[in-house]
Parts: sequence; structure tokens; C-alpha cells
Amino acid sequence: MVKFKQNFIRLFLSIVLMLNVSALHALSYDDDILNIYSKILPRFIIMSSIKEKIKDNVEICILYDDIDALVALSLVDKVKSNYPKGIKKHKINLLTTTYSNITKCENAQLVFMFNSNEKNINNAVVFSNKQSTLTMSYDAALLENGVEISLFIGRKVLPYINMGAIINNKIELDNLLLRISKIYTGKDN
Amino acid sequence: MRNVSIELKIIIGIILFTLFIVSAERYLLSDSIVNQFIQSKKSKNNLLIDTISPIVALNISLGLNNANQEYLNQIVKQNDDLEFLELKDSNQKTIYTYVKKSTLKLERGEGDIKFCSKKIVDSILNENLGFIYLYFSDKELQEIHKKNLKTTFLIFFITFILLFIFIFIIKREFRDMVNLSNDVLNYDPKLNNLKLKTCTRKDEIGVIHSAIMSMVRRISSYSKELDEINHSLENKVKKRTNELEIANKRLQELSITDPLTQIYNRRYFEQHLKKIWDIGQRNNIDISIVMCDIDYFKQVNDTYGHTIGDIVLKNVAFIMQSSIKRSGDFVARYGGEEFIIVMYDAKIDGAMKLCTAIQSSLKNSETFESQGEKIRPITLSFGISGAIPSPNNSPEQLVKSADSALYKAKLYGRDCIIVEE
Repeated sequence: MVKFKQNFIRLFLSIVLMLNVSALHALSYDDDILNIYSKILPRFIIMSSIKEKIKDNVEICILYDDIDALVALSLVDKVKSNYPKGIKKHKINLLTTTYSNITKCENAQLVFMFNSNEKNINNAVVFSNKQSTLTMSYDAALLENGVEISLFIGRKVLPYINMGAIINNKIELDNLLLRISKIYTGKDN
Repeated sequence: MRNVSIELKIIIGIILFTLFIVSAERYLLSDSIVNQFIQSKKSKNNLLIDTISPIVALNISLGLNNANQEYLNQIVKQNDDLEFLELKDSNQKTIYTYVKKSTLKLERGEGDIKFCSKKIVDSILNENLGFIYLYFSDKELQEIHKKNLKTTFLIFFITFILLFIFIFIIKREFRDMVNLSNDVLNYDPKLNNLKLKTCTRKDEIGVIHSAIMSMVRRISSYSKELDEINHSLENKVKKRTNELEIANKRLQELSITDPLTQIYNRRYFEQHLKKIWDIGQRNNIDISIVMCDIDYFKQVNDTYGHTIGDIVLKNVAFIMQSSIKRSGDFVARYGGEEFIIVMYDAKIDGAMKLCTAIQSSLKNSETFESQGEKIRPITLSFGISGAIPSPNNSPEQLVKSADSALYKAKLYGRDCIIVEE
């Protein structure tokens, strides 16, 4: 029933996206980058102190505006495709929800944020920090709002870590991750 | 080996020992340096590949291929000795390649320090993500070898210089010994010609020098004493020899002299006759023999005693000795009251004349007396024989002939001269 509902929503949203001019906004999500995110998401949980919060399954919450619902589903597919057997004997549960239903993410170990207005983003960041949840956004600009992880996209693509936020939330990251990542230190960076 | 000088033995010994020690030390040190370098290089290579592989693995697993490229380029820049780097995925498809030289030959190097490879594994999913191959230059090792060689040459050069200095010092030290030996060898205690300079050295050579000086002084002193003793001994020996010669002469005289009459005895006569016989035989010269006997001598002894008999014998011997004028002739007591005269180079006539002269001398001599009583006149009987020595006759035959003639003279009434033809 849930699967049918998801497929229905996907179909509905696709039609709406095709008709709505504003749907052009969704096209700004790069598939390759999404693919990288799909690989990064569970690994950041496993390679950080957040892994201690894992009970049985790895819980990832994907927040989106309605407009990005399809992209969010696409991300879910990619994660499932990359980790068909889960990660480290843990199954991966992916929960997609709109910013307005953020409370659904209370059990998640990681909250992934698609683009939204600042208010939503700030609310999501505050909520996640209260839950001691790792936050990750598609847009690196959201690091300014206190999101902890994103991707730096330049000549090469690198994980982009907001060290201030990470330290504030008392989260520890694996050294290896830090070595391959770019560190975000502020707005001027 | 005992014929080789100690100086040479010391020099050769020190040279061999030093070369052995320096060679062994250089070999061990070089070996140790090379081994340490190989270990360190292997460790560094392993550390590098151990550092690279998890990052590469993470980048692959996160799909950050550009990041991997960038990272590996950075690695290549940071490691000058890296000549080849290749990253392959699990299907052996090359993802990244770096080759420093196009002509690079991928050969296994000394102690496997050139090659390094590792399987890239996703530490979270335990999946094989590929392989990474590294090939390093052994230029540093070659540099170390070159440096070792250079250091070895330098050390050997310094060692040889030090050895030459050492040999020079040893030679100089031994020169004093050699000079000392030569002085000692040329030393003659009689001439006292050892001219040793005063030695200021305090080492073993100084000690030997002092010992030799002291020994030379003692030898000189002993030599003087010995000379004096020798001189004294020589004088004693001379004196003893002189005495011995006199005694010998006396003995010889005694052995050939009749003790009573002091004329030659029969032994001398026999020896002398044999000698002049041989000379006469070689020179074909006449030899005559006169044998004489005191007439009625037994009656003189019986009448006047043996003491008077002895006086008579002495007087007769004296008269006979006095009658001989030629140096080659001689008279000897033949036995009892018999006398014999040997005449070299004299014929029978000469012998007759001598006998006549003896008879005349005897008659003209003073009358013999005994305790104031006159002894009747003493007369002599003579037997003469003569011959030229030859293999056909002998001195014994000559004496026998003279004896025979004397016997005849006794038969014809005594106090006469008979010649045996």
C-alpha cells in the first residue's frame, strides 16, 4: 500500500513538474552529485560517532520541499542501489518527508536537506542539533545555516565539512573522512 | 720466520691487522648502512602505500574519482623517488597511471625496495575495489653505495697515511737499536772503542742502552784484570817452560850420558852409530870403530876396591874424550871397563893414530894412586874395524868386527892395537 502510494505520488509529481514552470528549479540537482550523496550518506553515519546511535538499522531522513519530492525519491533509489545489502550488517531505512513534517526524523541518525527556504533550513538544523543528528545538505551554501556536511564542487568534488557545527554538536568524524574532505570554516571560505 | 727482523714483523703485523680491522669495519658499517636504508625505504614505501590505499579506497567507494586523481597527483609530486604509479579497479581496468620515464623498465630491485603493491579494499563493505602499484627509483640506494665507496676510499687513504707515519716512527725507533747493535758488534774490549753517546731516552731502548753501557764498563774492567792475569800467567808459563826445557835437556843428557864417566853411554852410541851409518851410506864415506878395554881391570877392583876402579874408569874416559879432536868423532862407555869410539869419515889409519895417541896420553898421565899407594900402570887394548856403509854390511857387523879385534888384542897380550880386516 505504501509502495503504491509512493509510486502514485511519484507519477503525480512528475506530471506536476512537467507542467509547472517552477519545476525547472528541480533540474538544478545533478544526477552525478546525487549519486555521490547516495554513497556518502550511510558512510558518514558509520564513520562518525553517530554510529553509536544505531539500534538495528541505519536511519536516514530526507527533507525536501514538495517541488523536490521526485529528486528525493531518486536519491532514495540511488542509496538502495548502492547499498542493496545495507551497510555493515545494518539495513538502511530511508525516510523522505517535507520540511513541515520534520518531526518524523526524530529517530534518524542523519538528516539530508534538499533546498528550501531559510526558515525551513534553520528549523531543520535546530531540530537536528537537538536530536544530535548529523545534517547534510545538497547545497554547500546551507553550511552557513549550520548544516554540518555538504559537497564541495569545484575542479573536483569533495565532502565539505562545517567543522564548527560538528564540534558544537560534539560529533566526531573518522580521520580518514577528514583527510579526504574540505573543511568549511566560514562564509568567506 | 726467525730470520726475519722484529722490525719487519711488527710493521707487517700492524699493517695486516689495521687493514683487516678497517676492512671489516667498513664492510660491516656499509652493510649495516645499506640494510638500514633498505629497511627504512621499505618501511617508507609501505607507509606510503598504507596511507594512500585507504584514502583511495574511500574516494573510490564515495565515487570521488576526480579527488582520487588529484590526490594521486599530489602524492606523485610529494615523492620524487616515485617513478611509476598505477591504480586499477577490481576488473583490472586502469583508473590512474603515472610514469616518470617513458623508457622505465619495471624490474625488481635490491631488497625489493622498488616495487610495492596493495589490494584496495573497502573497509566498510569489505569489497575489493582494485589494486595500486608503486615503483620507486633506487637512485638513493645507488647514491648510498657511491657514498660508501667514496668514504671507504677516504678511510683507506687516511689509514695508509697513518700507516706510513707509523712505519716512519717505527723505523726511527729501530734506527737507534740498529746503531747500538753496530757499535756493540764493532766493540773490541782491548781497544775499548765503544763510543756510545749518552742516551736521554727513558723507554726500552734507553734501558737497553744503559744496560749495554754498564756492561761495556764492566767488560772493560774485567778485560784489564784478565790482561794482567794473562800476563802473569804467561810469565809463569815461560818460566816453567824454561825450567822444563832445562830439565828435559838434563834428562836427555842423563839418558845418553854414563853417570860415572860423564861420557856417552851405550844407548847413545847405538842411536848415533845408526844415524851416521845411514849418512855414510848415502855419501859413501868411511866409518871406523875403535873398541877398547882396560887391561886387568878386575884385578884393580879386587886389589884397590871399586872406588879406585871407578876413578880409573873416570880417568881413562877423560883421556879418551880429550884425545878426540874431530867434532864428528865421539867416545862412549860400552859396558863395564869397555869403551868405544866412533869415527865418521875416518879410515883405519886415522883410527890407529887415535889409538896410539890415547895410549901415549895414558902413559904420560900421572900415576894413579889409592890412599897414598901407587897403582900399577893402566894399559888399554884396542880393536879396530872400519867400513864404507853399504846394504851388504851393517853397523852391528862393524861393532862385532871391532869386538873381535879387541878379543884378539887380549889374546896377543894386551896393551896393543888390533885391526880387523
